[in-house]
Amino acid sequence: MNNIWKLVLLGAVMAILLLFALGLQNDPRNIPSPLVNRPASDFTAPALQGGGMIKLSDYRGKWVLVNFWGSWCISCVAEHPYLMELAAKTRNRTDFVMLGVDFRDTPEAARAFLARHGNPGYPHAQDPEQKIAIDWGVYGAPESYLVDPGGTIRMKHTGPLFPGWFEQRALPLIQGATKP
Amino acid sequence: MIRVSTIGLLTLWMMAAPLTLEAEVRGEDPTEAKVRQIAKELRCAVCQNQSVYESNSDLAKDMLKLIRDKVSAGESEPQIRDYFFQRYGDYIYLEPTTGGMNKVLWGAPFIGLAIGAVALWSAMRRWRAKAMEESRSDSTRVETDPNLQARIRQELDQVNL
Amino acid sequence: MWIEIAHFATLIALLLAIVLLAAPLIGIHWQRLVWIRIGRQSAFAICGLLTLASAGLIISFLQHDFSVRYVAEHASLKLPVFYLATAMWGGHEGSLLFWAWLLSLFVAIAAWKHWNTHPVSMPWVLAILGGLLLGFLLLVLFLSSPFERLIPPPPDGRDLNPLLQDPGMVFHPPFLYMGYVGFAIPYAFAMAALITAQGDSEWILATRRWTLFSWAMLTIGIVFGAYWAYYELGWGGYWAWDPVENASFMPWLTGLAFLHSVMVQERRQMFKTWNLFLIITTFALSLLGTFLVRSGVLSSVHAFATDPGRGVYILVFMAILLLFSFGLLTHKADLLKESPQMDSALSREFSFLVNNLFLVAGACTVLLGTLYPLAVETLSSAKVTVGAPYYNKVFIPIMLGMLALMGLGPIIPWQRSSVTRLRQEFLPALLIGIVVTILAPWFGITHGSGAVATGLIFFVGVTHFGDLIRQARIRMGRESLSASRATWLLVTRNKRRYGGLMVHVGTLIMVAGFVGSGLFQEERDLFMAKGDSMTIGSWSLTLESVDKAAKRNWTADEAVIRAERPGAEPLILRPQKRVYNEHSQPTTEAAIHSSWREDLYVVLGDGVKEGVWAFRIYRTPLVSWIWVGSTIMVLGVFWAMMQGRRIKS
Repeated sequence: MNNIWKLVLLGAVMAILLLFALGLQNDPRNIPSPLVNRPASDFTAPALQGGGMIKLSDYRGKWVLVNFWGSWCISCVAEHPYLMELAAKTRNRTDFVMLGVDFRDTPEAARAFLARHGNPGYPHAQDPEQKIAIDWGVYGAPESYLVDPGGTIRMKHTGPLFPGWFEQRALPLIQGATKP
Repeated sequence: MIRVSTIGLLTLWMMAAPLTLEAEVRGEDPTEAKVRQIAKELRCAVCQNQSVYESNSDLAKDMLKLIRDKVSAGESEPQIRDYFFQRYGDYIYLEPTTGGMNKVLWGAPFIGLAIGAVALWSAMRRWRAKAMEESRSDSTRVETDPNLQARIRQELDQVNL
Repeated sequence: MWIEIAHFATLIALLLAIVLLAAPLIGIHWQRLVWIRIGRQSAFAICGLLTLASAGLIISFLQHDFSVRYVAEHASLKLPVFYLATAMWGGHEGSLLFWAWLLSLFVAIAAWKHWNTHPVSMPWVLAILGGLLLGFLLLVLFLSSPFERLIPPPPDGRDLNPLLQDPGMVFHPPFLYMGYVGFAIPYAFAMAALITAQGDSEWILATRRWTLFSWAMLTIGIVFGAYWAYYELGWGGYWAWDPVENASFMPWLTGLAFLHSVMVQERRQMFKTWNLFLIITTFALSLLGTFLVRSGVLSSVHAFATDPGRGVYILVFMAILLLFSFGLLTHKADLLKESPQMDSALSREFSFLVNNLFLVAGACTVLLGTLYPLAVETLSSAKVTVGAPYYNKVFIPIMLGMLALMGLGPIIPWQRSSVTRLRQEFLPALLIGIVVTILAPWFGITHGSGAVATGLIFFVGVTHFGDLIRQARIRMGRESLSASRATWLLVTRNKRRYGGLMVHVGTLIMVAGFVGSGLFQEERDLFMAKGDSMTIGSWSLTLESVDKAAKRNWTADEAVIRAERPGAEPLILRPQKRVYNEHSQPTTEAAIHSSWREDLYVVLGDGVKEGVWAFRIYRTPLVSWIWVGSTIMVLGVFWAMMQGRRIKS
C-alpha cells in the first residue's frame, strides 16, 4: 500500500514523457483522411485558363492527381517547382493526368501566380468559395489526392509534394494496380 | 479607435434620417438558429479547438456558408453533421463521440474521482484509528470542559486562518 | 550593436548559470561557505546580465533594427512605440528570453531575501535554480536565439501579428510568465527540503508569499488572456478550452490545491509528501504550459514549420526535470516521518483533502482532455478533437462539487466538529441554497447545472457572510465594539483568513458571470443596410452608416450603430473590420457596451453587396461579473499576502 503510489506516480510521469517522445515523431502532415479508398466526389467548375468547364469524371480511366492550391498559400510557392517538373515528366503518360483546384482565390491572383512562378500546363478548376475543397475534406493548401482510374481516392498527401514523390508514393500504387 | 463626439453624430443622424425611407426592421433568417446550433458543434478544421461558428478563419466562414446552404436546402442536422464527418472524420466533432477508445476519455475523470474518494475514505479510517489509539495512550491529555475546548479552538481559528 | 551586447550578456549569463549550479554544490561538499557565496553573487550577476540582454533586444526594436531577424519578424516602421517596446514577447524566441530574465530576477530576489533566514536550504535552492536557468539559457542561445542577424536587412519588418497589437495581449504574457516562473522558487525550496530530508514546514513558511504571489499572477494572466479573447477575437466568448489555455489553467488548479493543503501542514504537520508532490506538479505543469505552447507537439494541423530540434531539447529538459523531481520525491518520501492522524471527517483538515481531490481531479481532466488527441494520434493515427462540450460536461460537474465544498470548508473547525454544531451553522444556508436551486427554473434558469450553480452561490455566500457576522458578534460582545469596528478588526487582524474568504467571494461572483454568460447568451446573425434596425433583448439597434477609418498602421471599415433601450440614453457603437498594412487577413474589432447586467457586443462582418453588411450581435448577461469577480479574487490574494509570519502560540 505504502509504495503503490510511487509506482503509479512514476508510471504516469513516464507515460506522459513517452507520449511526448512519440508525439514529436507524429508528422503533422500525415492526417488520415476518411475519404481514402472511397469514391471521389465529382465536381464541375469553371477552368482558370481558357474558359470552359472542368469535370473530374471526364478523366475517368486515368490516374488523376488533384492538387489543391491557392495564390495566397506560401507553401504552394515551395511546391510549385516540383509540380512543374512532374507535369513535364508525365506529359507523355497516357495513364496519368494532373488537375489543379485553385480554391479561396480570385482568378486574377491565380493567373498572376502562374505567370510569376511558371505555368505547369495542366488545367485548374476554380473554387472561390471552397465548395470543392470542403467536399474533399481539405484543411489548407497545398493538399493533393491521387484518384485511380475507377474514380476512387487512393491517397492523400497533406503539405507540399516533395521531389521524388511521384516515384516513391504514386508509382507503386499505379503499378500495383495494373500488374495483377 | 476614433471617437467622434456622440452628440455631433446624433445631429448628423437626425439630418440624415429622413433620407433612409426604405429602412426596415430586420429579423434574423429563421434558419439561422439551426445553422448556429450545427456550426457551434463542428470544429473549424484549421483552428485550435474553435468552432466553425466562432472562428474568423476563411475556411470556417466558407464552412458556415455551406451549412447555411444545406439548412436552407432542407437538410437535417444529423445529415449535415454526417456530411462533415464523412470528409473530416472524428476530428470535426468538437464533442468527442462516446464509443470505442473515447470511453476512457469520458469515464476516466469520474472513475478517478471515485477511486480518489474511496482511497481518501479508507485513509481517513486509518488515520482516525491512529488518532484514537494515541489519545487512549496519551495520559497527558486532560479532559477539559467542552466549552473551554471550543473556545480554545475558536481562538486558534482566529489566529491562523 | 545592441543585439551583440545582448547576445554576449546572455552568453556570460549562461556561463554564470553553470557557476550558480556548481559552486553551491562544491560549497556543500567541501563545507566551504565561500563557494556558496560565489553562487549567490553569480545569481545577482545573471540577473544584471539578462536585464542588459532584454534591454538590448528592446532597444533593437525601438531602433527598428531590421537586421535582427527577430525584430524584422515582429515589428515594422509603422508599429506604435508602445507595441515596439513590448514586441519582445510577441514571438517565440523573445518570450523565452523574457522567461529567463524573469527567472533570473526571481532567483536574485530569493537569494537576497532568504539568504539569512534559510542557510541550510539556500545552497540547494541556488543550485536547483541554477540548473533551471542553465536549461533555459541553452535553449535561448542555441535553439531559439532572438539575437540572430538577417543579412541583408529588409527595408521594413513584417510587423507584429495584428491580433497581438492590443493592450490586453501586451499584459497577458508577462503576468502569465510571472506566475509560471514564480512557482520555480517554491519548487526549488521544496526540492531543497527533500534533499536535506527536512520535509517540515520551514520551506512552506519561506515560500508562502511566493506561492500566493505566483498564483495571483497566474490568475491575472489567465483573466487578461480571457478578456483579450473576449474583446479582440470577436466571437463573443472568452474561453475556448484550447490547449494553450488549458496549459495555463492546469498549474492554476494544482497551485490552488497546494495553497489549501499547505495550511494543513502548517497547522497539523501532515501531508508533507502530498504538498511536495503538489508543488512539484504545479511547477512541472507551468513548464509544460510554456513548452506545450512552444514545442509544437500540440500544434494545429498546418503548422509545417515546427522545429524538431527544439522539440527534442524541450522533451529532454522536461524528462530530466520530471524524473529528477518525482524520483527524488519517491526516493526520499519515507524519510519525511509522517504519522498522519485525524479525529474526524467533519474537520477542516479533511475538507481540505476533499478540496484537493476535486482540484486534482479537475486538473487531471484538463490534462487528459489536452493530451488525449495526441495519444489517439500516436497510438492509432486517427485524429480526434476534444472541445468545449467535453469540458462543459465533465469538468463543470467536478467544479460544482468543489463549489459546494467551498461553503463548508472555511467554516468547519479544525480537528473535529459535531453534527449538531454543523446543523446549527449550515442548515439555514443549506436550506436557502436548496430553495434557490428549486426555484431557479421559474426565473429562467432551466439548465440543470445552472440551477445547481445558482443554488450553490447562495449557499456559499450565506455561509461566508454568516460566518463573518458570527465572528464579528463574538468580538463585539467580548470587547464591546461597534459592528463596523469589530468587522474591521476581524478582517485586518487576520488578513490571511479573510483574504482567503475574499477570494471565495470573488469566485462566487465569477461563477455568477459564468452561469449568465454561458447559458444565457443570445446571438443574431443578419444583414443590414443603412437605416435598417434590429432588436435583441430590450435593445433596438439601427445602422447609421458604414465609414472608413484609419490609423497609423491600419485602415478599417467602421459601422456606426445607434443602440437604444427604453429609459436609457441612446449609445453609438462602432464595430470595425481592420486591415493592418502588412497583413491581408482582416481583424474584427467588436464594439462592446458593457454594463453590470449585460454586454451588448456587435461584430461587423463582410460586406455582402453594395451597402449591405453582415452583422453578428451578441447579448451576453453578466460577463462583467467575471472581470469584477477575478479582480476581487486577486485583491483577496494580495490581502492574504500582507499578513506577516504566523503568530506562534
